[in-house]
Amino acid sequence: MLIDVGARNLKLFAIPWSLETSEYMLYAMTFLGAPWVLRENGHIAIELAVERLPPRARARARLAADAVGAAVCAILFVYACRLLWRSYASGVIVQKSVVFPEWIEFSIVPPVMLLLCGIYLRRLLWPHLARPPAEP
Amino acid sequence: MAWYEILALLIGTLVAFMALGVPVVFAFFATNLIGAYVFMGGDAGVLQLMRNSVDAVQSFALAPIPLFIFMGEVMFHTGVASRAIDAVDRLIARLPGRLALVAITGGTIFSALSGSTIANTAMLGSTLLPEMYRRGYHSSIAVGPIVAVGGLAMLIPPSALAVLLGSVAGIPIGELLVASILPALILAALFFGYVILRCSLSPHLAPSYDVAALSWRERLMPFVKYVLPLMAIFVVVVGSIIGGIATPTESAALGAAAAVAAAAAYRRLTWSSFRVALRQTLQFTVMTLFIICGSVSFSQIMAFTQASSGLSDLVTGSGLSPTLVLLGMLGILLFLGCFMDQVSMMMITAPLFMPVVQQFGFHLVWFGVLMLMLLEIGLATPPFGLLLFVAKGASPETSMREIIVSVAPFIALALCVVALLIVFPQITLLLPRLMGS
Repeated sequence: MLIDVGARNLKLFAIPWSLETSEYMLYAMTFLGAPWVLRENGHIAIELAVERLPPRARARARLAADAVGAAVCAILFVYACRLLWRSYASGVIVQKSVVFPEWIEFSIVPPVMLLLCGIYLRRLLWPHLARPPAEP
Repeated sequence: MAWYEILALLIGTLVAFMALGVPVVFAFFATNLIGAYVFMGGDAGVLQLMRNSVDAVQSFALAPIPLFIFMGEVMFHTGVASRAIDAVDRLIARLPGRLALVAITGGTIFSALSGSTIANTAMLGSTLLPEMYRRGYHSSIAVGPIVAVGGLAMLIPPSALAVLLGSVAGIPIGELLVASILPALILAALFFGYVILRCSLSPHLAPSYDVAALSWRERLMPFVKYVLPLMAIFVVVVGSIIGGIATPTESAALGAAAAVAAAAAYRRLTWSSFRVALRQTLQFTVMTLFIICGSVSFSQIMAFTQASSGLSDLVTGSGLSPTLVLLGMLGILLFLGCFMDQVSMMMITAPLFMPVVQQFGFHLVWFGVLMLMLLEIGLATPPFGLLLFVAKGASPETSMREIIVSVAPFIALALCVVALLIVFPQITLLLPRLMGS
């Protein structure tokens, strides 16, 4: 990006793929980093109401929240697989500066959703292995 | 189903999941799964949701977010920022509430180098709070300025959340970044004046102490050496946007490279500090951008079911004056800020507010700055204001009640600036117009 700005302003050359590459990197970083952030308890949650519950009800609410998370990720995993398969079967090609089959773009999502679901299931089944909630 | 029933169902489901403690991103995903399945044609709707989530963050406009955060984290973890604070500390001599003034000045300077409110508050808290307490400062004059000025990083470019707001609300990002500068400086000046006034009226809040007698050269040199070169980074970032040399993303890349170069030039860049800065940046960026992936379909479901246009038509047809509508929207933001994080607030309110803003013909950049101001205030409003917890982390011995009481006058001052910007929109629009010409 820095070379692109410098070279463009000096009217030397332009790097047309720098923009697209940044976009794909942003996407890959977000999805691939999501399971790590969940494992570190880094995804922001509003625990205001839950923290005011008595200990037993609080534990149940946390279990319910983890169950919701696991269910959501499981459903998203199924749909991500279907989206990937559809894209692969239809043979759609992304025609930008960089040309590639569209299914490559979607291939990141199913393993990420599976990992997220796995982290939630581990919390539900073996809560003693989970990290304590992060300080806000 | 009528639009208002759909709106109540979607917002109600989202709030219920959030209240249960489900992370914000998964609360959005869960609500959108239900909304897409029920209102957007079953399977086809959910597949569209998946596609939207993948496309959501493939946007060049969002690229400044990690870069702006990285700038602040590098400055913080390499210790370059605390050196700059030391330099400001030498510059300010015998004024009432001296250390609080150092916090405000240093925090404003650091805001111009960092896109992270958390890094700003944590840096000021860890650097100045122990010294303030050692000097006998009362918590009301020690914590308040740090939390208040910590939030300025959200207004003064480089601001990661301004980029996000511009992106989700369709406000020109470059103009929004530049427009926030003057309101932020007014805010900082008011904080400065308030501390002087309060400490002059009640000197026991900040006992004066002997400051080492230094010559003007000894006072000025650290500022010239450790602060002025850093301000060049701000000039690079903002100047390249105003001058049209670079897009906000490219200026962010220039800023990030300049921050690393500055840390290296001061011989403070170590592999471990670089790694910590990178890790913190990655965590914040992934958390923020993943919420966008989860919530992007929320606005589309709202639009598809005509919930957002229904609400917009209702407000437009109600006969309420534009000022009242504006105050209503800002009031909702103020209320949400007590319970919700800034990204969720943006993702929920932008799809509902922006059609209303367009119907009433409010200036997009002006409204964007007002929204940023309210989001900034939300960082410090109890009980969930994020910076209150950051301050608590930096000063565990201070009770949460003391922190909240100390922040209250600064929230009032910020609301005064909001009123000023409503009455005089030209304050906000001066710099973007300069940029346009």
